[in-house]
Order: sequence, then structure tokens, then C-alpha cells
Amino acid sequence: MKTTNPSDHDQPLNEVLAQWKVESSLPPRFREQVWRRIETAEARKPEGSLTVVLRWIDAAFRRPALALSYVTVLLFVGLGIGYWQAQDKTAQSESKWQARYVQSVDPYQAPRN
Amino acid sequence: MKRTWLIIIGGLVLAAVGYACIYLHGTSAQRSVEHSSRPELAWLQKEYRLSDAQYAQVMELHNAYAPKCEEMCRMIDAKNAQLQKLLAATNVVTPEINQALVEAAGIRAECESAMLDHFYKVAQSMPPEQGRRYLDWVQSQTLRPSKMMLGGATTNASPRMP
Repeated sequence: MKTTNPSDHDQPLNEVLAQWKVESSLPPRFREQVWRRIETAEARKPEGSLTVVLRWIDAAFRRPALALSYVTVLLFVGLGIGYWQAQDKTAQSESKWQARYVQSVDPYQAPRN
Repeated sequence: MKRTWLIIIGGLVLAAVGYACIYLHGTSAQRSVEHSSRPELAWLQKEYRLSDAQYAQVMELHNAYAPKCEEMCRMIDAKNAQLQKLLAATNVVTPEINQALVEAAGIRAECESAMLDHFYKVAQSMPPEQGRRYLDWVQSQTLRPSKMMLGGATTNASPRMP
């Protein structure tokens, strides 16, 4: 299959384009306007999900009732976990000391070296 | 946004402070027991609400009983070793094994008697209600048949098949 280079047929056009010179000047404040358009286009981009979440949290915490509820819930969660872990630790320790006492008085349960 | 971060971090700090306060308060008694020189006896004082005088008496009784307990441990170990040796040497119940079993039972009776005597003395140095509670608990931990089976009368010897 014979292929032809399209530029071979555009030889006259190429010559005209080579001779073309732009002589008109840029409109005033062209550069500034270009940057403004770029900024406007970037501002229209959809926000990332993290930004949306942060914005939502920020809006939520502007309501004093919600902020107070958040702090109160966290305080009670801390107190609850502290109480639960203290109970657990106490039960473990008591069990250990009970066993130690029994071992110290019962020769049949005393630890052997 | 700065205010929001302040609330978020403030809430977390408050939770941590609440946790620490409750945990440290809830485990303070355990920590004091743990740091005492005789934690098992300090636990006894805390559990049975002994006064300092009662605790001193319990400690004295405990210290007096400890050498007897160690001596009983030695007797039990010696008898068990003898029994194991006899059991390993035969596959029938010999008069020597019978004798060793009788002696092991005698040692057990002697140990239990000494333990009970000690428990009664300790209970008498406690307030009456606490003494009863102590006796119930300590007897359930030491003189119950299931607990008595845990002791040194068990051997590693397995029956030899002919």
C-alpha cells in the first residue's frame, strides 16, 4: 500500500506560513488576565474528600452544643476505659496475691525449686 | 479551623486525663500492696481489713509458721522421692511401697493439722467476721480434696507393664 506524506501536498501552504509574521501587539494587561483565568479555572476544580471532611468538621464544631457533646463523650470514654482497666488490673493482682499467700502456707502447693 | 483543632485535641487530652485519674485511683491500693516487702501479707491486711496491730500479729504468726512449712516441704519431697524410687523398681505393691504410702499419708495428716492450727490462730487474730471469712476462703484453697490432689503426693512414675 502506497503512503504519501501529507506535508508533500502542503508545500505552498508551508511557504506562506513561513513568511507569516505577527505584527499586532498584545492587548493591555494580557499576562495578568491569563493568570486570572488560570486561577479562576483552578478554583472551579472539585475539592478533595479530605478538604470536604475538614470543612464539614469545622462547620459542625462551630455549634457549641456539638462541641460540648464531643468533649463530654470523650471524657466519659476515658473514664470508662480507665475504670474498666483498673478493675481488670485489680482482679489480676488479687488473684496473684491470693495464690502467693496460699503457696506460702500450704506445703503441698508451695513452689519447688 | 484553629478553634476546631483546639476542641478536637482538647477533647482527647481530657479523655486521657480522665483515664489516668480513674486508673491511678482504682489501682492505688494494689500499688501499695505491690510495693510492700511482703505483698501476700499486705494483701491479707487489705482484704480482711486488719488494723496495724492485727497485721503485726498475723505477720508474727506467719513468720513462726514459715520454718515449719519449709520443714514439711522437705519431708514431703523426701517421701515422694522415696516413693518414686520404689514405684520405678517394681510393678507390684510391695510391703515397702505400702509402708511409704502410709508414711506419706502420715506426713499429709501432719501437714494438714499444722496448716489448720495456723489458720485458726490467724483467724483468731482477725475481727470475728473477717476471721470466719478468712477460714472459709483459706480452707477452700488448701483442704478441699481437689486442692489436696495438687500437692506433692503425685509422682511421675508410670506403671510398668510386664
